[in-house]
Amino acid sequence: MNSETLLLRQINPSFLQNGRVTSQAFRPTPKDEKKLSVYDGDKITAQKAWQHFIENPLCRSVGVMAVSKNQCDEQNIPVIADGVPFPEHAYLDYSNMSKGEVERKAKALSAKAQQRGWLFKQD
Amino acid sequence: MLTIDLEPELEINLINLSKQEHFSLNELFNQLAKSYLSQKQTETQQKSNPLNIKNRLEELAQLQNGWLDGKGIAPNRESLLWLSKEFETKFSPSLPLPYLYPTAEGGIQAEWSLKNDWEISLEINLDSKQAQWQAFNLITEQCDEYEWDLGSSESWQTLNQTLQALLPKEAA
Repeated sequence: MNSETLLLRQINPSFLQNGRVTSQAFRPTPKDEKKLSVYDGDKITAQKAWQHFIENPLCRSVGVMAVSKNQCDEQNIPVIADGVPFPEHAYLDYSNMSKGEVERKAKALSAKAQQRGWLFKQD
Repeated sequence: MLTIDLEPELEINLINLSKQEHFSLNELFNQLAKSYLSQKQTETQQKSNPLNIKNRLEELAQLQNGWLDGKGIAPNRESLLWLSKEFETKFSPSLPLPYLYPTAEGGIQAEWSLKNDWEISLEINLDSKQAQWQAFNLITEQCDEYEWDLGSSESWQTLNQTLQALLPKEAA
């Protein structure tokens, strides 16, 4: 992984309205223990990541957006490539951040991801 | 004989006009036609707006528990009806409509992206009616945070004023 590595994020259908994605897509939910799961874009394409994700019947995604490792660095968000529970898995570590801080950083990342646009979009 | 059924708002306009000492039938007709067209235009714009609050909340009322990777809690339908009515009656129609999304905890998050780089979220807890406002400017990194009780009309007024103050000048 390097500064240009894209970190792929699945977008839930309800997190999309009229073409705009909520900043919630870039912050962990309370049950995620402040870890936001992503796919390491150096190891898997956006389309294959999407296919892998929806293999789980509980998981729905309308497509894939991404932020770069460098953009996470700018926000002082550590990126951990843990390879668990699958080799391409990584996470953005929001540990030790207040709720307000998490939301601010999620807004900044969401804006960057939407400027970049969809890396893969379901037909 | 020509009979016209008037809607309540037009009746009020008619009464107001009739109180004036001098008016002609032409003025009366023009006033009625202007009011009617304005009202219908507003209704049509609201219904066709892709961010229509009522339509979006009806859509989110269809969510089931587990909607977010098997974990998301579905928002309560009665609470969504409450929120829809509150927006309809207390959110200023002159302000931009928010995007609305469910939260993993069964709430609703309203969001606005303003052209002057303000990213705004209003996270609404449907059970407590408490709402957390965060406005973050992507360029200046100024951040304002408030908590409001949306069960109170005063909080809606504060919400309207706070959002209005952040709008770009040309849109304000």
